[in-house]
Amino acid sequence: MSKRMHIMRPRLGLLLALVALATSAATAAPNVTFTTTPIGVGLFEYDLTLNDVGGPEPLSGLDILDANSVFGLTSGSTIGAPAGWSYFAPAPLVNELDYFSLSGASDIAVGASLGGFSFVSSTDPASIGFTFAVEAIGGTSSTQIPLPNAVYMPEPSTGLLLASALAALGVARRRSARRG
Amino acid sequence: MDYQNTRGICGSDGMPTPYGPDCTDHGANCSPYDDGATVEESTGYTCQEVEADVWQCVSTRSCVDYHMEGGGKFLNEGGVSFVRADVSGRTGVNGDGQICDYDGILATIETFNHASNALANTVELDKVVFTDLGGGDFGAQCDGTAMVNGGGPVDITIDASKSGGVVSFTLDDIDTPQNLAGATGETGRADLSFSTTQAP
Repeated sequence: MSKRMHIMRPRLGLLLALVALATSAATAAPNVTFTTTPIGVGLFEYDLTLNDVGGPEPLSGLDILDANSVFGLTSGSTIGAPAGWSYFAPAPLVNELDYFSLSGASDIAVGASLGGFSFVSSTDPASIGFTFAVEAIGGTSSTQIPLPNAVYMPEPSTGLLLASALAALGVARRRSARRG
Repeated sequence: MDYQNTRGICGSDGMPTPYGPDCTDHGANCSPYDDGATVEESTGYTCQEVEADVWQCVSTRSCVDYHMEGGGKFLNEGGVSFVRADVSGRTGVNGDGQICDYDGILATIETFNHASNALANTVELDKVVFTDLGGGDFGAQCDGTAMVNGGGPVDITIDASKSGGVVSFTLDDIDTPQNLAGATGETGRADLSFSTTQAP
């Protein structure tokens, strides 16, 4: 793969993620956003936020559907849950990472968000197109709520870099137009 | 010694050695604790030819290592339950398709029921009965105790099965009685397996 392709792929992923985020926000439905942090030796920390935007009920569960097959997570993996929540790691014959609220008091209210869902994986977010399958559990119905794929949120520094690049591109084009 | 009831504890100190002692009354019930002497009542041991012209008082059972594992998402009218289960051990079988164990059962089981917010874990089992139905299908019934939301232990019973690709798992509080978790596994998102291997 050429050096240019290496540069293009993350940018394309970011753009797709931003488009997906805009689409998700427009539909105002519960969704999951995430960031990743390289922590060395080929590992990435994934930090997830579950947003109950415009949902019909509080949320009491979050499932990462392909936690073992995509992220290689097992019971020995580093996994974190927010206060008042716990989780069951993937196990033999069970592909999912299942987070659950331990009581109604820790459910995510409609309109609220909760971070603190995390795991460490060797899967590069670029290799999965900066998105993966998730699902929520309703706090009132106790049933499954389909969610759109999780949406990547660039780190603030990455976002600033992207904004700066876009601004510089705009300025350059304007100068070029004046010269023309 | 009540070896009729204790012979299931394969591999433990209470299990007579798999070979010997020698016996003379071919095919008869015998006592491995009395130099292979012939006895009238059924003991679970008979005088068998273990190799050419060598007859010994040995168990009519063989020892197997059993293992059930799996879990996933289980659905009932009340909502979703998450299950993780791993049960294993070694016991004696007599070839009738049932595998029973009452001692030294290794169990790691945890369940969470979203409808009741009941988290059951720290499960200890004192009885398991598996029925191997062939083709990967099986039934299981287990009794024991569990901690529920950190309290207990409470007496529980577990029923699990796999039949024609459909899996089910229920964990009930015996005393209340109350379903603590489980029901029918969601297709593609819940699975259980059961296997046995001949123990050395």
